Amino acid sequence: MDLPKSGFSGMKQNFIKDLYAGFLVSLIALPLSLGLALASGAPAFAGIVTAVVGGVLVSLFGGSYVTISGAGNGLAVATLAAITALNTDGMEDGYMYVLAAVIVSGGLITLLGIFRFGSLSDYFPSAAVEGMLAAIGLLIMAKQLHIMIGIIPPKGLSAIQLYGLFPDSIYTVIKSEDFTVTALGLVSLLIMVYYSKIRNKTFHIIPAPMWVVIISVGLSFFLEHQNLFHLIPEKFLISLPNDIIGSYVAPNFSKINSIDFWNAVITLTLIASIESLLSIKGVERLDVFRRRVNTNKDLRAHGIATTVSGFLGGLNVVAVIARSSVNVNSGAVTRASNFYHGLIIALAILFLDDIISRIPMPALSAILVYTGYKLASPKSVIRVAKIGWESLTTYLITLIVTIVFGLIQGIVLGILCALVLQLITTQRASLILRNIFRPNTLLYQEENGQYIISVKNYSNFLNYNRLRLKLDSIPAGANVILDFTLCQFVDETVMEHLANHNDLYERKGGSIEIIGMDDLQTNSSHPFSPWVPLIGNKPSGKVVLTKRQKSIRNYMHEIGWEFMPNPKDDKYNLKGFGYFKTLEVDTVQNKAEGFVNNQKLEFLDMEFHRGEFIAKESLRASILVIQGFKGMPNFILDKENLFDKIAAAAGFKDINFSEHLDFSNRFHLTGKNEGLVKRFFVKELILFFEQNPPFHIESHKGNLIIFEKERLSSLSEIKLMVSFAIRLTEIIQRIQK
Amino acid sequence: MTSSDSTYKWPLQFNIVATAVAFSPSAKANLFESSRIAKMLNASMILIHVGYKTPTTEQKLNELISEVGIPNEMYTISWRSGDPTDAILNACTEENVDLLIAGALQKENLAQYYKGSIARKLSRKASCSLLLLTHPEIESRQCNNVMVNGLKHPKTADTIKMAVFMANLFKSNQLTVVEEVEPKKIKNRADDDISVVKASREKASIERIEKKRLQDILQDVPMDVNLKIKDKIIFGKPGYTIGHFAEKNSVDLLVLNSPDTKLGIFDRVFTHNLEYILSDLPTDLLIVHTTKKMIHGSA
Repeated sequence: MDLPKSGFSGMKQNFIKDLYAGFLVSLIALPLSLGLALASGAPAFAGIVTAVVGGVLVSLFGGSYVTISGAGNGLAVATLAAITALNTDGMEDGYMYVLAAVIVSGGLITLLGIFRFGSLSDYFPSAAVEGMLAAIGLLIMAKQLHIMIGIIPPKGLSAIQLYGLFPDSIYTVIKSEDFTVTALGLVSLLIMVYYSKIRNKTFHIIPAPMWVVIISVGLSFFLEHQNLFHLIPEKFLISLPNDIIGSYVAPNFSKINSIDFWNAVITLTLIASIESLLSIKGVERLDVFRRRVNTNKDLRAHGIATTVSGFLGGLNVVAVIARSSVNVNSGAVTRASNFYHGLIIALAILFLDDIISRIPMPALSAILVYTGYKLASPKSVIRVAKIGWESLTTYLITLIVTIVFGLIQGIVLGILCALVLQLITTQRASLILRNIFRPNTLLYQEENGQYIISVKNYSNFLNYNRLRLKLDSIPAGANVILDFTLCQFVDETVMEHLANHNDLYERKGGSIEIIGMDDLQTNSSHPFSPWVPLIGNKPSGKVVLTKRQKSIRNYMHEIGWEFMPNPKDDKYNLKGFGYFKTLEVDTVQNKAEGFVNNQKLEFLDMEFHRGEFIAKESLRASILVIQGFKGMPNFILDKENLFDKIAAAAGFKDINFSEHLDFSNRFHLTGKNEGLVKRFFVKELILFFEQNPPFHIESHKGNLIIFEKERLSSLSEIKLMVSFAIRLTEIIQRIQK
Repeated sequence: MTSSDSTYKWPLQFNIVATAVAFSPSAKANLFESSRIAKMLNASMILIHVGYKTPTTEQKLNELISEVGIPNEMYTISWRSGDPTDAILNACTEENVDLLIAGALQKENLAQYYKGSIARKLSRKASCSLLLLTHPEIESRQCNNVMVNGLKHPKTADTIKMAVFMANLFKSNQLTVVEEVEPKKIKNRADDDISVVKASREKASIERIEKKRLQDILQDVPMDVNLKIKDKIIFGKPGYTIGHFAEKNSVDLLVLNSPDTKLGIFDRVFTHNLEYILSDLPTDLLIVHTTKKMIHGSA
């Protein structure tokens, strides 16, 4: 797929597509912006300002492609809390102080972008983030449930109190005789819920929130025509200013010295940044062109837009995922669609304000209740629970603390909880604490250009950022081997990030292969479950294979070999082989065996060590063992490399073939009995070696070992090695006949 | 002495090797290893014992030395007291020691001992080169794979020469010169698809320049034909990356420049953070101490 042009030419090239997508998005963004502004405790108009400023400015300064910006869910909760906290006693003036907080937080977000804090969201454990999102959902629903059924709850109640009052509200509604507003809210909710279940193309041209708007506005016109307009009380109608300039509320900085003000600023900054960054990362994976987003630049743009929005009476501008996904699905190509969406909303508010002000609040509340439910749905709990009990605990603690105490408290406690659980479950407390601030990643290219990333000590949410920076510096489409051999555990946040990263890599034609986790264990079969060391003598009954083990197993089954992960019998005596002279075999992690004409070939992932004393040096390699070639002389064949000294020590002699110069130049063949070895290396065999990649091959008493590197091989390397071994076996069998 | 001695003029020569002696099993292994190295270097040994000289300790010490098999004419014992680290450092200065081998001191838990402050203190204050052994052994073992830093620093040329010398001495078959390049040197930050490509291009050009520099240094180092020399440019945090790379590639001996602390001549702009490696010794470590005198000697 050709990448679309960037800049103005890209905008021209894709004008129709982007305009169409921008239009569709604005159909959703309009009701959502109104609703989120109301949920924030701000005038409905503030939501419109946020969407317009966000769409126009972020598309001008941003670094993302198909992300839509506007008012966000998390921000609604944060803003409501801020407005409540900043209200002067007995007055409803919190909004103008919050505008000042929004302006300051915009400045801070801009700074975060400039100083490259785009990786901020990397530091949060995924369970804590999920918990926070669920809490936001529940907090939004708490108030909106009441409004949806036509009751305006008293102000200043906490979310828990609001849920406690809900039965009362239902009772009040049942007792009352007028169900118009309630019915409108419930019908709207039904539309939101069943929209995706209705399979009608024409119906789906208009998005669900717009249906809600159309139906409620239609109802309002109908009631007016029937002279029944009083059925929708005034208090349920959103008020838009008639004179936009005249009703302008200026931000008030007079509370800038209070703790509440800075508390609001920090909450807004942090929640806006997290929400934006999560959305940007999410949208990056939705983009059909797989373009990588410059997160820092985008964060900066959101900061600028937030400041401007605050001055104009709007709220924090954040990147939003639901609207962005509609944008992608509607065929948006460039960031111009974000611009058009802002522009269309601006035009709508200028020319259709009469219609918009007819939208009753219960209809908007229904949209918000549905959004909130989506965030906090039981599915999200189940998904987290499947990853493991540690994740579930972090999730629940974050959720509960957020609802009871607030967003910042929730996320901070969630991080602490995840950390403490890791300290306990891995039993590596001192390792974790000692190395939190130390580098732990290494990226280099092997001589053949293969990228290797090695991670040391441990890999968790606290240091994932360093791993991501390395991953990000590798050009798209490359194959990367990610080696966790030196790692003592890998947590679920890293596994999830890696899965997402791999997704992006694969779509660009590359891959990330993970090796070196086969000696760790996990308790759950979820792909994101954490991998921790075997503790004590009590391995969990269930054996869960790593992705590498699974793919080796699948490959081995494909070629008709038997695969055995963690085999019990590890009586491998390879001492006779030169390479293993000074090495001690510890365990065989994986084993596979197959036959070529009744001759057994074994594949082994081995762990062995050198030295016994205080700090032994552990090594790992993937090795192929072929047993039982009668009359094969002892020899070592190697590309001129590391291993040649070993042979010298064993009293082997260099053997060269004057008639095969290329072979003699490229390979290093040694053996004790030159005559026998020369007779064994017939032309066919030499040609075979010349045509294939060089492996380290040793023959000892009729047994052969083949391997390539002093590390575990990736699947593609194993495939090469196995096919090499099979063909080699066939050739030797033929020669010996 | 190795055959190399007669033909090569080395800027550094280890004539006097010192090590601490004690009676723990690990200290014994350390003595075996040190005496083996001293014999290979054809150097005399200063055996530093921190403790009071009593007939019993003297007797025990002599027994230990004869068990290890150090000929009488090869060693002298230096009796010291006080703080072990300071005592050892003083002994090294007073006895004009060229190489201090530190494997095990009095304390049993060597791993812990060296990971902490002692290795750091020794490396910073020692007026001689320092060989830190992570796991000294009674039996001899192979030292196949030697790695040395290729830092852009006046000391580096001598350090590389020293590494080649040691590699020859140990009959190693591979020496890798590693240059760590601070990622900040790449002006194009890998932010999106386009800048990643630009950054990779810039990396490649930095790699070419650095490789050329390493080749120039290696050109005037005489070396054994059997020794394979490789160069490797890695982008990563200096001081950390080489240690991780050495551990990943099962290196047997890592050779580094001494830190720039005192003695003047290079102690201004160049800094090389040994901290990461010292606190987490990935492998045996030789810190080559280059001083003014030695540099002049080589010229």
